[in-house]
Amino acid sequence: MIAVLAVLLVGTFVMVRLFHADPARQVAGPEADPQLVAQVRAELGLNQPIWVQFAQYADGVLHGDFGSSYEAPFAKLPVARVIGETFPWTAALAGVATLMVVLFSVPIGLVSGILTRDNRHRRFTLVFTGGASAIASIPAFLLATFLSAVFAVWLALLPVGAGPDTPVWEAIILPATALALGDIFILARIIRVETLNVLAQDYIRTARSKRLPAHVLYLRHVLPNVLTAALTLGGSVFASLIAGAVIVENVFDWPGMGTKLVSAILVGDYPVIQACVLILGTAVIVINTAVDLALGFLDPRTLNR
Amino acid sequence: MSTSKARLEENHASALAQTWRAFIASPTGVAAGVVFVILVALAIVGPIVWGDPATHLDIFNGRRSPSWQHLLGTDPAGRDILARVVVATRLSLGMGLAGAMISAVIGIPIGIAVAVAGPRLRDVGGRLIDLWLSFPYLLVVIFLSAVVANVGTLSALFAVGLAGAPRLARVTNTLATSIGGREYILAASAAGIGGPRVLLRHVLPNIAEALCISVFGLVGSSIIGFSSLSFLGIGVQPPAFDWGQLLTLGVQDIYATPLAAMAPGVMIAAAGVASGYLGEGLAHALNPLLWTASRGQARADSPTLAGFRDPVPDYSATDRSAEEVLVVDGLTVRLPMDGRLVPVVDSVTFGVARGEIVGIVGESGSGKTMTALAISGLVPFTATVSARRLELNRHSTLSGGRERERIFAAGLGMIFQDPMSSLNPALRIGTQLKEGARHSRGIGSGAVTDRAIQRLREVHVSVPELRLRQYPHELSGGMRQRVMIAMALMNEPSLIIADEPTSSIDVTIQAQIVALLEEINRSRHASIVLISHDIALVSSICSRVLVMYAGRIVEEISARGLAAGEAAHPYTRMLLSAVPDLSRSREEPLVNVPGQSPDFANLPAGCPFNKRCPLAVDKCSRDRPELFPIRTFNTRAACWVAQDAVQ
Repeated sequence: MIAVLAVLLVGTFVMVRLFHADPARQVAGPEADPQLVAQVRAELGLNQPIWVQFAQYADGVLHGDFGSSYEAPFAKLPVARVIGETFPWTAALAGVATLMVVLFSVPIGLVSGILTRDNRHRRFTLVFTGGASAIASIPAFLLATFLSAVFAVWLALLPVGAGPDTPVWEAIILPATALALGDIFILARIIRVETLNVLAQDYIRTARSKRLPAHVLYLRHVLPNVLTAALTLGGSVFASLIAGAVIVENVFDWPGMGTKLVSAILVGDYPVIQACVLILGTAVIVINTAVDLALGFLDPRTLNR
Repeated sequence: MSTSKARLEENHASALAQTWRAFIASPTGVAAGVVFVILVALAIVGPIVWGDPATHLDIFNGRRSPSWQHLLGTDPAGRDILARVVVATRLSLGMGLAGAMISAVIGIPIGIAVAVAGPRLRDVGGRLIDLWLSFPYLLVVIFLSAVVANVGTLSALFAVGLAGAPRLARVTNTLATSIGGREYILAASAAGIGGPRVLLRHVLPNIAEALCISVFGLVGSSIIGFSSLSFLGIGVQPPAFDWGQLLTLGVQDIYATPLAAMAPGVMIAAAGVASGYLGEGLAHALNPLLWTASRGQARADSPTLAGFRDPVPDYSATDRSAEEVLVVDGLTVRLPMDGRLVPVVDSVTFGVARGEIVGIVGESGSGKTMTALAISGLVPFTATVSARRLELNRHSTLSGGRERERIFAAGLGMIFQDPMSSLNPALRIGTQLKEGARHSRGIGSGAVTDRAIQRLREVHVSVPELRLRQYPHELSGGMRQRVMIAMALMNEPSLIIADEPTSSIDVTIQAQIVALLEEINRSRHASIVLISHDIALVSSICSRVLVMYAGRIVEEISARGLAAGEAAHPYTRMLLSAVPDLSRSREEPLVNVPGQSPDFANLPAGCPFNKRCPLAVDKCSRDRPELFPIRTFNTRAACWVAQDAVQ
């Protein structure tokens, strides 16, 4: 994991240096005289050898210092503060969406698996897999558009985005739903198939031979094994929530890192871009690691090794 | 040379035809294909036909609602929304295709390079590809366009192309590696053909088809990735427009003209979903085996079988004592096969007295396991069970919901074949041992723990207190089977059904497990039905042996009769002669039962064994024999030859 973070750190630095020959001119403005550009360059440390620059960059990042935003060059707005303001919004959105994914996909998948075991209810199987894969293959920003058209515009039930006078819990419903919906069905599909697999296992026959009540059979014998398998196959959806969040935020003007990142790209504010890429990339790595840990926790076979 | 090449091409052509037929057979694939073709047609003719209304400014007619003139209304500048969406098809679709092509140009060489590299480089390269893949596709697209930070069509295209590359690198790598080990590649290498040539002449052509489909599968992602960038304002810039950009404009105006947002959204979704399904359908058609791993359809037991008969008249179970733990009379189990119900267990009749050990032997697929499952009420959902009588401890178990479960819970213990797969890997031994008694008999948790420990002692498991906290994978195979036996004993059942209890266990442990079963039979006075393909094992501990063939009992013989060589049915004798013994010379080949085990869907008329029987006479292929007492022997056999010999 440390190695991956290091790759990410070097990657962001190199990529930005590769594509931006002279950030100082960008900061100072296209019409600035050469003297001012040189002054800005010195101020930004851009006249030093590249490895010194990288050392400074890496050192700053490790101490939570991402430099200053170019947005208002002389105000020296620290990027760390920009991140500090936007990160909680993104975290809240992704967190609520993750919660929704877990809370809905597991019961939907498990129940539909149990309903369709041994080829029962074939029509339901057809409708479920067809509908689920259609919803799952629509990207989150389209779901966001459709949801806001229906619930905010036609039905006028929920607000589009976070305005100053809409309560956060109300404003978060649409973006979080848009973000979670696809992944709910991706996971529910996986869980349904895994439920069928687990139900065909020998140990389920053993459990049945003990004449256990249905809830014990399904919750104790089926569910843990289903979750292990489903997480192995579908654990990547949690990291993909981050990607969805970046885009969905822009649909709803959600004041998080995704919206910030896009506006930073549009004006070429690359200390902010660098920091956003670094933080979001780290979030992906953290989530993937958390999924691996959860997997180890769920599967006793990996614990003792 | 030229003829073999022609033949190769012919084979190739027929393989293509086969792929095409398989593709046509999948409705979603065909529907997706139709949608995709329509989109391509729109991309070609759209700008020519609707180019003008799409760009014609008419500020006095901005934000109009749908009308006959403007089916989806107009945008703020008065341009026709429908026309704009249709015209945008060319750019969106074209960029999707171009993005996938860039991914191919970058990804495929990387995949091949990693596949043919030395072992260390291959390892590192594979890891890097996986690392790259562990980041969500759309996030990588945004990241890449962020670091380029040049807003515009070309940098968006670059981002989309580069983001898709690792997927193709991974696929190429997997395909090339899998094909690299095949004989003809090894043969080419042995013939001295160098690496690059092997690659071009042998590896690439063989993975080309699968690669094309992978590239196509990426088009959907590319379209969506590119549209996302345009939607975020960092892709296509005005005055050019694609779906993503139209969507942004629509969303900004969503309260006035919601259709302006919906229409491009629907198009992106349709293109993404259609190319996704199309790619899936093509891949499916190309390699059905790879993609239809029909998991989750496995049956507990899948004998194959047939010949439909009504239960035969009762001829047994009448003269037995009232102390019968199990009564099975005319048990028939039917499974659906080729659209009809085929009996895989046919009119099986027998009883088990208290304290008796009865063996059931036969080849795999003879219906032994299905008989056991029917007796214990565990047949698969699709099976139908019928019988004149089916009683456990004199309670009928033919039907009845909760009441029947109680009868089973109290009176029956089951031991299955493979203790590794038959124990739940995710639960502690203690949980699995205790839950039966706990939930179905309502015994308190303290008492049930004591009982579990006591049962583990009884089956000679060391340190039982520790075992309760362990998981199945922490125990040895023999230990696991002992746990299974302890589990079957938890509710002090009067009958234990052991289905091949020793077949998947180390040979050195088998004898111990058999001895343990005998010990339990003596100490607990529990009856046992022992199911096995091993007639020697069964005859060593059973008092009676039932020989099954094609779902029927073909001979019922006492263990003593069996030992004395009194088996009357030719099939029983064949099973006996298939047992290796020390008296036979090692140079002599082992005797197998000749012929194939029966195909239930196509049983021959008359005696189902007649095709394999060395003694068969005319009558055997005409009439079906019933079990018939062979008076000079301690046996009853369903065999015309044996019966005629007696009379």
